[in-house]
Amino acid sequence: MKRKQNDFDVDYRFNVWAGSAVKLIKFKDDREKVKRELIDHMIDARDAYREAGFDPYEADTKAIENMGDPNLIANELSKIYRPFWGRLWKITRTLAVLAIIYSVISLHHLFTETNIFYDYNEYFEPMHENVSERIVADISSPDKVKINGYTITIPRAIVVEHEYDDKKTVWFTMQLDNINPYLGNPRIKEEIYARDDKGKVFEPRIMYANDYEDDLAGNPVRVSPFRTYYNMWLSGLDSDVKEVTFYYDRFGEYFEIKLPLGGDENA
Amino acid sequence: MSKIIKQILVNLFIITALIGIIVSLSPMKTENPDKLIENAIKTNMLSEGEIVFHEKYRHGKWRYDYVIMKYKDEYAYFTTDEYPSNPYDDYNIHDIMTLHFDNGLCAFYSLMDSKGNNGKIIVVSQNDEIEKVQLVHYNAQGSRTGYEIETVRKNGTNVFISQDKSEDQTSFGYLKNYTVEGYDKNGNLIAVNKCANQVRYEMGLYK
Repeated sequence: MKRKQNDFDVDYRFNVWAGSAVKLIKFKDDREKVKRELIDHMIDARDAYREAGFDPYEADTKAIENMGDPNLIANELSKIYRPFWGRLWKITRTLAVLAIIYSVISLHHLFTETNIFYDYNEYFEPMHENVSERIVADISSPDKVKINGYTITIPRAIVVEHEYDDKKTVWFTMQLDNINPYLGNPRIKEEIYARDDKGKVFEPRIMYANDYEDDLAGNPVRVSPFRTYYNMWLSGLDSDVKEVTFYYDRFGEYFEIKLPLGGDENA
Repeated sequence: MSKIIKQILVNLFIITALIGIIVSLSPMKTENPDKLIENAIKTNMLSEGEIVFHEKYRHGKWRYDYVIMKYKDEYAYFTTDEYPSNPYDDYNIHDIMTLHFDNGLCAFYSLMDSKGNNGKIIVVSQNDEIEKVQLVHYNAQGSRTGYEIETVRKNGTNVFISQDKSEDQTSFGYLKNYTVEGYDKNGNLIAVNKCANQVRYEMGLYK
């Protein structure tokens, strides 16, 4: 049975003897543990001698004598308690703590969201001054599409009206979420096309095309194992278009996302 | 087993598990080439298709894979590569594109070369009768200049690849002036793709 002790219960000589016996144990944690055990043994012996009628000092002395030569014990204990395992444990414990800290930092980075959408002030204000454009709506799509392990949404879009040609451009962010990290960084942007409510089709922009008018273009702006963002734009919309639908129809896979353009709400 | 060894094993398990999680969250950094192709198929939503062409190029430590996928009459092309010398960019997927056909022929330029310096022209045919494909150069006035690029048909496929000796002529800038001609087994011209005059990268994009 383990008993509670404090330094006042234990003869000073017990500490000295136990300290000598464990002095060759190199790993500090082991040294403290073994010393405690040795003192416990001596206390048990001391109690037995006291019950047998010895006075306290004599009982302590006999308990110490029973333990033998502390130097011999020290040699034996140093052979049993090698420092290798203790040190290995400490190293692995440190590495585990570092791994946990690193993981927390990494995972935090993976899930942290920053404003990936176009910066209005930086991007649009200079544009307004120079080319007479104005934002007429700040919207999002109500649709949420689930396909092939991806959940696809349009969390934000803005509609810009051009005064110079009576056309509209829609700037939008497409968000693709996937639980399986091996599906990270999907590359389907180039295959998405759009159709407005008047039937006009906007093809995806193709590298090295000669004409960049009236098409759907964009870039991946944030890629993580669980989430990918495309910042995209659709140009050449007539001013009276009220809704645009984005389509993916390829290799047996199909989805569509509607984006009502609003227009009543001034940004 | 002593308590300390158990604790060590627990620590090692924690370290291994966390490293495994972190590594698995970066699939592009750790995949082998076959796994990377599988990944490319999934992330491009091409799983419904079948691989109709898969060419592997090995050059020392560098490994390249070229894949053409087919679903009904749709085709897609992508390449993967491995640069073991760069630990931050070991594996990549490149040149993912949908193939567009004109008169049953599609030709495009690819860095199908172990050194990455020169490219090859890849021609895909939808017409089984086409036995031979040739790329013919025209000048700005529309006249044949005499420059021709021979292709070699890959066994069992409708894929034709330009020969090594023509690499210098089929670099990126030259391709736009070529027309693709498809011949049957009797040498008759049965299909022509003239769209090469309009785009450099992939002939047949604009119909």
